[in-house]
Amino acid sequence: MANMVTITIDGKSIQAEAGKNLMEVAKENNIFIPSLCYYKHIEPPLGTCRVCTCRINGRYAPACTEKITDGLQVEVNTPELNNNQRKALVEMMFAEGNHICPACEKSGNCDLQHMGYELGIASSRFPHLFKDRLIDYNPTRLVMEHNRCIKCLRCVVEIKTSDGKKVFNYQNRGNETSVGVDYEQEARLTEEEAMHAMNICPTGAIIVRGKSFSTPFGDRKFDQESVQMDFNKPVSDNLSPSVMGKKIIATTSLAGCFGCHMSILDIDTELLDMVELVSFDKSPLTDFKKFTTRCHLGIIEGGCCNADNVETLRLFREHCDILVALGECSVWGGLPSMRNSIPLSECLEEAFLNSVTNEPGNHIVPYHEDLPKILDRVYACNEIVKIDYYIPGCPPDAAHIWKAVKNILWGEKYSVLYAEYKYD
Amino acid sequence: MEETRQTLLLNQLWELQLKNGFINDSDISQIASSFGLSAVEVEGLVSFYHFFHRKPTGKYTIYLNNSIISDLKGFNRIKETFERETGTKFGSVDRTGTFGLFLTPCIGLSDQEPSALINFYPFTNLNAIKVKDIISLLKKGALPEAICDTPAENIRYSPPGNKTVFFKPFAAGATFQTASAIGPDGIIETLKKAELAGRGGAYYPTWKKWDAARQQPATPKFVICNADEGEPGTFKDRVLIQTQARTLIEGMILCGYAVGAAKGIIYLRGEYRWLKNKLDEAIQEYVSAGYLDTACTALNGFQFSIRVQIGAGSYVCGEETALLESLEGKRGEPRTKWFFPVEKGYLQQPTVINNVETFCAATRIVEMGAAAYSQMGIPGSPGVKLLSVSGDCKLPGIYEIEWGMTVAELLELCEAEDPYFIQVSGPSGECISIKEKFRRISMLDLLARKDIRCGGSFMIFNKQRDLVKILLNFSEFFKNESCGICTPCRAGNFIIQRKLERLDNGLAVKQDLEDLKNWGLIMKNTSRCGLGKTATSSLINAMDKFQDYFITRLDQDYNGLNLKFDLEAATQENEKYKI
Repeated sequence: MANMVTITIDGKSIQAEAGKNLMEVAKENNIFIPSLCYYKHIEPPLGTCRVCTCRINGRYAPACTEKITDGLQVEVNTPELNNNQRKALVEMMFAEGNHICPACEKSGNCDLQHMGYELGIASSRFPHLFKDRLIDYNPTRLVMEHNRCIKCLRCVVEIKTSDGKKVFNYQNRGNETSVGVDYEQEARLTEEEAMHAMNICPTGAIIVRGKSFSTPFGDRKFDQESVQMDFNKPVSDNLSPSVMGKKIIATTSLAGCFGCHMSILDIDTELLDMVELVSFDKSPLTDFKKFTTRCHLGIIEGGCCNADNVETLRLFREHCDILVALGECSVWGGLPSMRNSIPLSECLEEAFLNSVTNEPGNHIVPYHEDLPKILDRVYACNEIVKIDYYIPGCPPDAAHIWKAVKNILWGEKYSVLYAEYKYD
Repeated sequence: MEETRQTLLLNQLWELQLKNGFINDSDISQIASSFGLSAVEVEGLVSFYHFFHRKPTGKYTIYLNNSIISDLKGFNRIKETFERETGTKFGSVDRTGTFGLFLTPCIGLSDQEPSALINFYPFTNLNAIKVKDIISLLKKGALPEAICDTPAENIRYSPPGNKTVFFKPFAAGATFQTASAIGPDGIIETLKKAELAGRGGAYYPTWKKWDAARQQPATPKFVICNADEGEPGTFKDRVLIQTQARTLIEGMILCGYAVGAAKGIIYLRGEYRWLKNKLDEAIQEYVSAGYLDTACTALNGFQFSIRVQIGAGSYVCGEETALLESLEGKRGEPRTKWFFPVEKGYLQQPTVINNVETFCAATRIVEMGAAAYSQMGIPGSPGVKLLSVSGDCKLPGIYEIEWGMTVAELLELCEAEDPYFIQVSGPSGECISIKEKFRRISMLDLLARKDIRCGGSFMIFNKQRDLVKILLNFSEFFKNESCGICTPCRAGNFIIQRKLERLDNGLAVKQDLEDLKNWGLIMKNTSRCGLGKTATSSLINAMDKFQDYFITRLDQDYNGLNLKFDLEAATQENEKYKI
């Protein structure tokens, strides 16, 4: 008979086996502790991602490296842990890597993305680091996408050849740490072992060639199912008075693709309600080039890639009570920021001078005083002005947009369905 | 149980590094196959330690210290001089393959900065003329070992009245008579009475650690000396090894005897390679006297042996579990706290790890008796402590103080020049303002934050020094030295540095200061080991104590909505294409 002891998790008294891992005990008792690196049978536990940090006997410690002892007091769901620390760690991973969900094979099957959804992360509080990371196409069976690796250590510990040799290992240290692949050993993996490597990777860092699209987007593990989440946000009380009973909205697309504006149009029949309640000022929808009045709400699609974007964004900040960043590009840079790890001159020369269709000597990089100057990198809107709210997605779901707008302008309570909350 | 073969891996890599100046592809695959590892594992090991290189590092490999103290003492000028004289830039090797220039964090010579290592031999108190002379001598074929400096010991102060504890002459075996009379329990009891606590900075009671290891049924047990003194500004262990290698060896034997271990290892940081001879000589003296490697009759027939392992450039290896990993021939990544080293340490066997100063103190305590030792210091914090003092003072060096001395007294002793703030226990420690100069230095009241518990380093800065620049130096250090295994430390230090740069460039607003503090706390609460947990402590401290200063560094024009953005700088690269 195992030695059973009593512990407390969030005030609930629980019987558990002494010496057992706290993560397992929580799971058995239907208590969800968010984690990314924890993998059941790896012992000692990895303890690398730190997302499962809880308050244990009054001090902060990760649940995955805690053994059950009698009288253990555990706090899992406190505002501090959920809204600050745990969320911060996941945001840190987004800021550290180059996670472009709309362009990722693993999207929908990705633990990191899922954790972002579960914790309700709309934007990262940290500046994106845009570190230049390569994609390693050298392995025979795999592709190693270093932009997406969160260094959880799962593959390093778990994936070995039949004679016990490591296939993956950490390289370098500090912020240069990466996971290297041993090409010789990797070639010896069976197909099943390679698939295992891809499947235990919590992000899209390890991709098996030809095997990453077996399930279509939309039908994947984290695409539909989860608990419904509430996003009841406080209403801003700094709004200017309505004009003729209507709220005024301005919109713009900076370094974006207009996809988010298309998504606004997808509000569909509810557009009829909308025109009763709001009127549009400066916006591609009205084709007003200039602000004619002060607006209640400014909706910004796209980040800033040139000086004109910066000026427009500042203009919006001056004329709008509230600014909402709409879509991935606006929230943190998104797809255009793929160039951020490459010097601007290299981008321009590749596009205008060295591309295959150009004849050497016959082309120049465009430059004219009427052309907006290109910035050294793509900036998220919140690097230039203060942004009040974020709606992620590529593009954000129409229903999500309309719910959020109604909430911001009239304080209407709403909840976003799990399936409406996406980064891709 | 024999030590596994992989424990020899670091030595083998060192041999190749020293012989060829780098470790090439065929070395990697040869080592991998001879140790039964995959090549990526060996590469991972090599790339972890910054003294191992995969590209040639020149006939003369020069490591210039870029610590904050070196910076105060003229680092930039020395750096330029090295570059001019050798004709190459830092981070590279000149065209003839003669000189390789590299930067390295603190090399334990803060009392004689700027200093550098050339082929791992020390060159201290550098100035432009001296650098010029060194390079020209090397060009003429002089050997670095022949022209290097012998670093001064700089022992500036001991308790008056000839009451030094650490620096009295010591004869090998002096404590054995007492030790064999009181036996293992007696030794542990003596340390308990003397209230000796871990001098690496954690202050865990030494007797508790030794007693716990003694209780462990598993054998063999190991005694490990942590001589990986990497905290910038600390050099007390260097001076102890320079002057008191015997007391260190004897302390390890006493520990081995007390806990029932058969083997001791000294993990000496790579930067102190030049001190290895001192240790080897002392070990040899003990071997010749019949105290080591054979049953020691003076100690009831106890048999023990000691070897020295050289680290390869990694601050985090000072963390005890990272040190164990490194000793086992792996990357120095701290372990999770799933087991304590006294339960499962080196090679999963019971292991005691103590700092150099702790072993030396243990020897002295057994030698003089707990009662005599406890007469020094203050109640609750008896005895003496070694401090490494550096920075803006006339007399940098080692201060052997009785616990209970105030900061003001110490500042007076070292003839501090216009002190304004003091970094205690290195970048990971506490930043104190001159307003707190009447605080005592002791092991007491840590939580109440009344007394200062100093790990060893005491860096003094005057009012002209730029606090943000100092904090940037620290964050650069932590960013590079993080082992990279846990998110908050790996990404957090990088992010903090970006934010500090913003502050330094005058782009920060009030919210940025709040962010810095909050993010620092997140790192403290969630990091895996002490490195990440303490990396932001001086930052948070400094922001509390020098609030006004930080406010002056903010962007004053902030209107709450538009953030300062340097459009001109951001479009500069595009201007290149102006027609």
